[in-house]
Amino acid sequence: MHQFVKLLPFILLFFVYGVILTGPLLAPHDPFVSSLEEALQAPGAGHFLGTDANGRDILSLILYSARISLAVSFCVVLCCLFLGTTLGFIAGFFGGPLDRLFLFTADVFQAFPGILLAITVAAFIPQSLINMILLLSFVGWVSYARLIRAGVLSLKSRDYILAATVLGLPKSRILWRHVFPNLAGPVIVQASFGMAGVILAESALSFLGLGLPAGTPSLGKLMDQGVNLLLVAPYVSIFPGAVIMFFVLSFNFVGDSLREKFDV
Amino acid sequence: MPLYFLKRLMTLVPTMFVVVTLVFFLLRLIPGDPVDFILGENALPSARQELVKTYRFDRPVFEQYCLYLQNLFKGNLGRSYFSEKPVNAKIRQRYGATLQLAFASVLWAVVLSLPLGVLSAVKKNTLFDRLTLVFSLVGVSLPSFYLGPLLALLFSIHLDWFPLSGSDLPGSLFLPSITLGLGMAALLTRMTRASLIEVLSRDYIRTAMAKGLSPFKVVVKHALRTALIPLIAVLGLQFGTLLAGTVITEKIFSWPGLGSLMLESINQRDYALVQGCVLLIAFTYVVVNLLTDFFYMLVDPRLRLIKDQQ
Repeated sequence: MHQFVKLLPFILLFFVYGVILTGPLLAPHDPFVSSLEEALQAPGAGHFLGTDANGRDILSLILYSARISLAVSFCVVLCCLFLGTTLGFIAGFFGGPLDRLFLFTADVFQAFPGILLAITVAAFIPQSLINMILLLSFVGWVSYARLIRAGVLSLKSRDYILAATVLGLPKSRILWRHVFPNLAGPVIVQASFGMAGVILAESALSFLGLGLPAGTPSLGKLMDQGVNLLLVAPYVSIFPGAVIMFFVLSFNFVGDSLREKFDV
Repeated sequence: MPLYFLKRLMTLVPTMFVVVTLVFFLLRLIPGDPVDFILGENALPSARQELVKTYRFDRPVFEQYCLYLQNLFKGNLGRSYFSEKPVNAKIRQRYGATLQLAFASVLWAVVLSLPLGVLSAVKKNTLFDRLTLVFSLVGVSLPSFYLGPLLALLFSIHLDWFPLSGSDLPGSLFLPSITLGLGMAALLTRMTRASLIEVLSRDYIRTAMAKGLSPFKVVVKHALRTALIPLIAVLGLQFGTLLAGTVITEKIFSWPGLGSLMLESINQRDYALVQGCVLLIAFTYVVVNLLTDFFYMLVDPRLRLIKDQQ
């Protein structure tokens, strides 16, 4: 029973993510078609979650934009993992001037609150899906790299690494077969929290009008529209907001359980 | 100790330098002519010339940069492209409102998180503790652009207790500040709990208990003092996230601060003003972090010793 309770959120998550990933198949309406006659209809039979100011079906919009939001976050976390792992490894393993350069760069990045950096850069670059992914990776890689660097540094002096070196194993083999597997736990935990953070950041930027380009459905943009319609049509912001919160909550939750499991 | 302060103060210089450089070059990184970018391609030639002359866009980038730095040293952030008023004056008008919002939010965070964190640490693994955990998990995951509208719906549209937007009416600080502060409150609650639980297991607490002090005294006078020290650092770091968060909160509640000024100027492509806002927010963040660092040293004598040895 206890096991089941622990697994329940994961099962729920799989179910909901299944729904979201197959979103376009399930969406009852085409979210790109707007008809002003159907604008701002309250949730009801025809439109399960109502319609927005352009008469687009909110449920369909949510299904489409949630998929995009997840895909963007997944790409960003992958980019961060790649960048962070590479740079963190180099800095931690080779040390010396490379490490000092790394530390300086990391300090500079963190001297500036991440989301402010994202807002600032987003204000200057053209809006597109790719730019969004690049921007959020640019802002996010540092914490992964720091984690990897710290891990490599602490593992480097362990006896078994020393033994591997004495055996004459090549550096690349030591890194991949002996160091990396021992860092996987904390990195996975970080990636899980990272997903939550990126989903938040992406919708925040879209909410501010600095995120995904016009024509790409986005939960943040729906929220933006909804805040202005709070008096007449609160449902425009309530449902998309709940979806964002669900995403963030679930990734934070998964991160927490993984942290317990990996004991990091 | 004074030496450490001085050293730490000096780290401000390169940090701000990098921030200034980044903010300056962002505008120049955009492909194409910045004048086209600011005025649009169909601008009148006279307007273009005017802009080129004022900002020396016809000079090499390095020269423009030096000029920008020179002006910054004099405390001059340039003129708004849009209204042609000095950036300093525009920013000064809004800075107070943002600081007010930020500090009110920190106050909320501390006022909420201290009792919750302490009680859940003392009543570890009870129902209260579980509920607090749920609160903090939800609080951390609740984006301000969702919490804000929800609070506005409940407290201002349905109950009509607080104004929906602006900053003129009494009580208008309430909704924006709680929107901004709740996430931080949730985080601090968790950290207070963890920190206090760790301290409560130490020997000197057992001694205090053994000599018959009341549990209240042990927790508040002996344990809490030690437990709160690491939280000061978190508070300083989180303040940055909070400052950046003002941009979102100010937009939701039309709070007339730096954040909403920044958004307005982004929409008007008024990049001198955007640069000014970013610099001021970054500067505030750096200074607050510096102050937290100093404060941290003041309250924890052990740290003073370590830093002096370095």
